Amino acid sequence: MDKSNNLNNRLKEISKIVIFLLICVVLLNCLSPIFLPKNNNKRSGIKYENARGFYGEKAHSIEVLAIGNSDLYSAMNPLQLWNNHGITAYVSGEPSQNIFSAYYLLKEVYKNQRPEVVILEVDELFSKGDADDLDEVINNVLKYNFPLFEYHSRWKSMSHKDFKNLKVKYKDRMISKGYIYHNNIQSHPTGYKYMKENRSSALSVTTQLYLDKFMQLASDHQTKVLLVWYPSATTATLKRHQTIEKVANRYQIPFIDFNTDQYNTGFNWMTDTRDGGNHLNYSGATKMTKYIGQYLKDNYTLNDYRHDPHYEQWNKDYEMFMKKNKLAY
Amino acid sequence: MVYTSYVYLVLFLGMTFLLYTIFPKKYKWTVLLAASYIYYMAASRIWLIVFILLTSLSAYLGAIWIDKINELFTSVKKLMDRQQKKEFKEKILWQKKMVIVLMLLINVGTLVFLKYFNFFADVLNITLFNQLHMEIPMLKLFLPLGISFYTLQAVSYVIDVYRGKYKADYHFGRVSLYLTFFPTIVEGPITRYDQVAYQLYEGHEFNYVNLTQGCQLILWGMFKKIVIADRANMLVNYVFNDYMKFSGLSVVIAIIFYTIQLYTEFSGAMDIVRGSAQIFSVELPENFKQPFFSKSINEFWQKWHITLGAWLRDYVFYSVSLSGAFKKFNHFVKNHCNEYFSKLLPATTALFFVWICNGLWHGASMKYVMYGMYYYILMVIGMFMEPVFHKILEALHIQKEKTYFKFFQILRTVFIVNIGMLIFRADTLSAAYHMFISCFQNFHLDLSVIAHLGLSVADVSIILIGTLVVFIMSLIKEKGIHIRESISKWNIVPRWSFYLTSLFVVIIFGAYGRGYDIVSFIYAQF
Repeated sequence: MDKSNNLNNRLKEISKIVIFLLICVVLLNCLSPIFLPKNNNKRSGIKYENARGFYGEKAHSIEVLAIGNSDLYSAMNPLQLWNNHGITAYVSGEPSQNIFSAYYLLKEVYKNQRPEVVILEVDELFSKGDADDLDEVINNVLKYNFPLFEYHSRWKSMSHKDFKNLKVKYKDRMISKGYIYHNNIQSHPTGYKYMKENRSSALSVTTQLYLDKFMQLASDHQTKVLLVWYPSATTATLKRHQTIEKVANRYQIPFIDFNTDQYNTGFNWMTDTRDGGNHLNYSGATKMTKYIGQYLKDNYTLNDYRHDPHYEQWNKDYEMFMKKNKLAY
Repeated sequence: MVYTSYVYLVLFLGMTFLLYTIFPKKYKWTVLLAASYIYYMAASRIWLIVFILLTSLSAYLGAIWIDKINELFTSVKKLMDRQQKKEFKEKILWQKKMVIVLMLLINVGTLVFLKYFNFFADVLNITLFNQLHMEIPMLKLFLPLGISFYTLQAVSYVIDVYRGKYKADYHFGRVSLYLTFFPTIVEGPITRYDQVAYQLYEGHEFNYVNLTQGCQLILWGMFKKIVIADRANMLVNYVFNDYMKFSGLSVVIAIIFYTIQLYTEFSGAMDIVRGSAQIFSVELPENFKQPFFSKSINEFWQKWHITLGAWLRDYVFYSVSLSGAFKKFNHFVKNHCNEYFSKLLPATTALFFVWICNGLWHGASMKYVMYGMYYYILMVIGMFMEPVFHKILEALHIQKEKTYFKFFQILRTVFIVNIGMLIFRADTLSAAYHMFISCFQNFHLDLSVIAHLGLSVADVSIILIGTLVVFIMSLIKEKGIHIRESISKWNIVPRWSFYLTSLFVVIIFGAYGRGYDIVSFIYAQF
């Protein structure tokens, strides 16, 4: 009798815990749409609006989507690709992005774009360690499923409209297509010596898991993946290069590492970095993009839309970008 | 793996609890021990585990050694006459002291070397070797996670065995678990072997009340840490990191906000720690008992970081007071001073060691030494001047029992504590001095300055509302009401509504994610 009573009590307690957790999930689901920004611009509170301008581009109009951290949005200029080759590219680069957030961002991309090529900037694959990575995984899963975790701080700027109209209209474009322009020079005098430095070169278990998921997601959408590592004096090493080379071999995808090979770009650490070797400036980005553009043209079947009237807006965006940054064109 | 991270709260704590629940009662402790070592390796550099293993092993063997010496004495004393017994006892005592010295050399020696070598080398270089044109080189040393906490626990265990408080534990797993228990390893509380070792070792069946109340305590800790402390940190850093730019009310606000930050962060961490332990039906000692209702500094330190204060009392104050040299000093004072001095001098002398240890425990710098000395000097003044203060109160016809006087005493304590916090937080002593002076420069009671201290008005409002909530909860606790128990008696609808509201307040108003920095626990660095 006592045993069955105990069992009943235990079942009752476990049911209470399950019901409480279910209520939490329901509330998270109800509150998330209220907190979600209603447009994809800074004013609405969207996360890194530069990386999310693809929402505003015409559906299925982006052919090359690049994903990565700040190294990427400093080194790849989609409008140069447009002007030189007519390639429609977008840079979804975020500060301190990791492969976990990259995976969920790519999922978002596929909601309105079908890129032919995805460039993964591999700098973001080297993280702090397994425990931190696990934390980031949970963090990203929660943010993706319950945007309240991402946008909770919007309580400061929310209005009654956020409660009334729960529909989101992500229609803002970014003129620079995700590239962030910087023209200052702070050289890195020691050149490529950093490649000999001793930094941890192994990928964490969770990174490998999400790299797999990333590749699978791209493959499910018939997208080809290209691994790129732009010059980075603060993170790249020879051993890390070898790690990524193994990754490229495993997935049988190409890997371009500007840290081990200059590819005749004329890149110069004295003139092409804006902060002593961490990020590139406009001059560095121009050299990198020139090479990547030719590589894309030579190795993938990409269209040239420069004279397509449907893509007229890209020409206007290019002009505006050049004018805004006082660049000759 | 900080205690506020998802990986700790969701994965680590959740998995450990599940395994603990399904393991047979007899082996539940192994889950806690394995989890503690996994936590240590995940939160620190893996090889630093050598230090905690060394401490565990030396404490375990040291206590057994003392026990063996005691056993030897008990077994042979019956065969001895009085004189032999006395001589043998002295010999035994000397041997036990040697074991303690060896144990202290290994553990406190490691702590002192790793934490203070560079500090003392620097002091010696400046004061002595500079004139001799010599220099002790600075070393690049790693400080093992939680060394300041588990070393004190190990020392307390061996000294308690030495003092005969309890017998040595012959179960290495139990001693090791006591020293490494994952919720206490980073920030304490500094527990005692007889308080927790058997609680940790004996397996506890699933207990719904402990599970839910533990989770509630964790949530309350998260509120204090994430909603208040991490937000206040932004304003505090903004002013303290660029203190030359600020004066008057801005500096006063920054000091008060730091006091709020440190209290809500440290006490919040303790709530998370105690809540984590409660989930396994383990009750840890409290580290805070509403310290800001204290009427004196002495009372404040009995309610603030209680386990450190108690440790210093039991193992520094008593050890100094009971030492041979101190007994001689006591005797000397009694023979040469009047009653007033002979009563106060020994106590204040022993207290000096307590406060120098307190200061140095917090960090290897002159700033922390001065932090300890600040409180020591105030306490000594308070002790010596007590008759004078008494006479002044009598002359002014002020009754100590009156509410207004108690209120004055509380305000006075808060004021003194805030100055202590300034010394604690400022980068250097000269920065603390500069900031203290600048409080009185350009002072205007214009609260609008708060909007120019690196935080939005909305964020400042959250800190103030949060602090008010903490104040009200403290007031309720001070009245002896057990809040979680009282809430558990509510009807399920208001009770669950309260829990859900609290949870979503932390999720929505927490200072985490974009725009906020991840703030490490301040006491984790000690």
